Amino acid sequence: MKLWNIALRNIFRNGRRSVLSVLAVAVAAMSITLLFALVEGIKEDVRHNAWNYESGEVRLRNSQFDRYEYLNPVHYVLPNYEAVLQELESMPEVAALSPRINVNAAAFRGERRILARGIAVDLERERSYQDLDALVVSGRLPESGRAEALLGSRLARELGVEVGDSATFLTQTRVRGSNAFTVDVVGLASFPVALLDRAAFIMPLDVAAGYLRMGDAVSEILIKADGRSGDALAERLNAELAPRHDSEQYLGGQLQASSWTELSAGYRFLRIADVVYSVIALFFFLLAGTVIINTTMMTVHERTQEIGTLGSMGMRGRELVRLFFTEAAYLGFAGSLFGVLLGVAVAVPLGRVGIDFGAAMEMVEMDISTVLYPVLNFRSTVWVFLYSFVVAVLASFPPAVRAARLRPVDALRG
Amino acid sequence: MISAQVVHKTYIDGETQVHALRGIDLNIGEAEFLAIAGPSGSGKSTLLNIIGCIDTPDSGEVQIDGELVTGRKTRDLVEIRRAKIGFVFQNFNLIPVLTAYENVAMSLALLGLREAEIRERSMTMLAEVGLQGMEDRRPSRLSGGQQQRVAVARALVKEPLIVLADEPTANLDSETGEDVLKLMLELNSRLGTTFVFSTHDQMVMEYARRLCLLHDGLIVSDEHRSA
Repeated sequence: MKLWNIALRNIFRNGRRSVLSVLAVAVAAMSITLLFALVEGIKEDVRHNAWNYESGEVRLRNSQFDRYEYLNPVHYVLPNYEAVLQELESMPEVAALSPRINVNAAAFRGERRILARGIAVDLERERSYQDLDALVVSGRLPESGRAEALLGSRLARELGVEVGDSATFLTQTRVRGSNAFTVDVVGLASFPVALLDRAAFIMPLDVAAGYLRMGDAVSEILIKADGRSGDALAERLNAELAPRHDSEQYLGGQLQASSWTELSAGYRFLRIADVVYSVIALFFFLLAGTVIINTTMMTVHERTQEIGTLGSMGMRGRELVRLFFTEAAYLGFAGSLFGVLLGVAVAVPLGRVGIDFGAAMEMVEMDISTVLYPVLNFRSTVWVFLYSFVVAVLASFPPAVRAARLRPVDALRG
Repeated sequence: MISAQVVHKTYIDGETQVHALRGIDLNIGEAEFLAIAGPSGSGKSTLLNIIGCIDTPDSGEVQIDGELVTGRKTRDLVEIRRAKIGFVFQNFNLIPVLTAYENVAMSLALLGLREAEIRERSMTMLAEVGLQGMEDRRPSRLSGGQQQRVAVARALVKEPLIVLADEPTANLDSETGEDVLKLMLELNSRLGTTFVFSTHDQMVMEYARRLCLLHDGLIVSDEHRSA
């Protein structure tokens, strides 16, 4: 008669209680699976948004720009950017490049001033950097050489324009003069981030360069790395590329590469969130663990005489502990497996349709999309399973040890 | 074979200190069929528990098979119980999730014997106690008498030096109780295993080949009878 067999039968002695224990572990495992999938989804989302709209994986800028960013120093640019692009293209770890001009602009509707943020991109080159077509909800993308723009849907509403209308923006040129320009609205975009949707528009780089008197310069170059991490690439660029560029051209600054991990507020937030969610997960598991402790304590209490009998027959303390451990292991295994499977069953469809946080995300000052798609990470899902299983088993340890320490003579009295 | 010398035991029951044993001297030989009788609180169960190594005396010495067991570590006592002592309880104390066969086999499994040997010896012992064909029944599907037979088989299957039976007939009707007693007597004669009972059942006392009467923790009478 094997212990595992006795343990298996024992868990069916009080089926209802065993089911409740399994459910407690399952609920914890399911919640954490979902929570981790959501966190993974947010991470993926923040990374995607930061790489496409904020910082790239690595961002090249004039170091003076970052220093005086609060003054909107549009004159601190990357001059002769085509040469920089050529150098970057020769590097194997550079996967895609996006030279950009940031067009900080304002539009007026009656008395109202509406702030907007133009992202001027090389539309041909941008295709290899991101899928701009996926943003378009009506109309089309602007074309190079034409004064056209793709407006965020909310921005278009704010401005009261539709596809086919035109919009006029006031901006500042590289030489810090003011300039107004008018673009045809050729399409509307649905940016994933609410803040972008109500402020951003995309326009051709060459057209923006003309309006902002940029000459051969751009505001920044965003880079996606191939294989290597952004941090390593930024380090290499600062060590090798930056010294080759004349500081005078940079108005006293220099070419500076920064990794998204140091630039993205979302990334920093997620690093904190990771710890917070792990603590939440721990609490969930401890909660489920208390149910197992309770179950094992009740089992020990109910089976005290039986423990005495086994002790009098010569069952060793460690064998008794193993018996209760095995029972908890069955409950923990069933609960963890059931919970993780349930979590996966919920996370997979949610990963397809997404969870619309809509209004809740409107005022979030981070690159987090309004619709979030949970992403199941195999490693973290396996960890959730193992973690909940181990916590459930360990939770049975104190009452099991207590049972093993009972003197048979006392246990037999019940 | 078993020797208890000047054994004292006091325990606390609520707020009362109970002197359960007050210097017991008892020697038990091979193949004895001994009943320890006395009124409730006379110390008979305490004496049985001490002989069975599930309780320890406050003072005095107990030897089993020439081996001093008093003062030994808990894990040593477990090994002694495992190999040398069988228990039969008033409430049978069978493991409810195990079948009759498994309850018996459990004793041998704890000794680490091979599966084939466990099977052979358990089946033989169940047949000895008259439970052939009922091996796969769980305790809930056995009568009280049958359950006590399983308990006897469980105690005897490992061929212990001694079987300690605490009020083995208390939960059985007189007819079934007598059947169980006859069975134990027969096994005692045939296998030579020592049986020690604690009881206040007159029938058990009548069947006993030796009767010790306890009163207030002292042996007041020790009567040997012929078979």
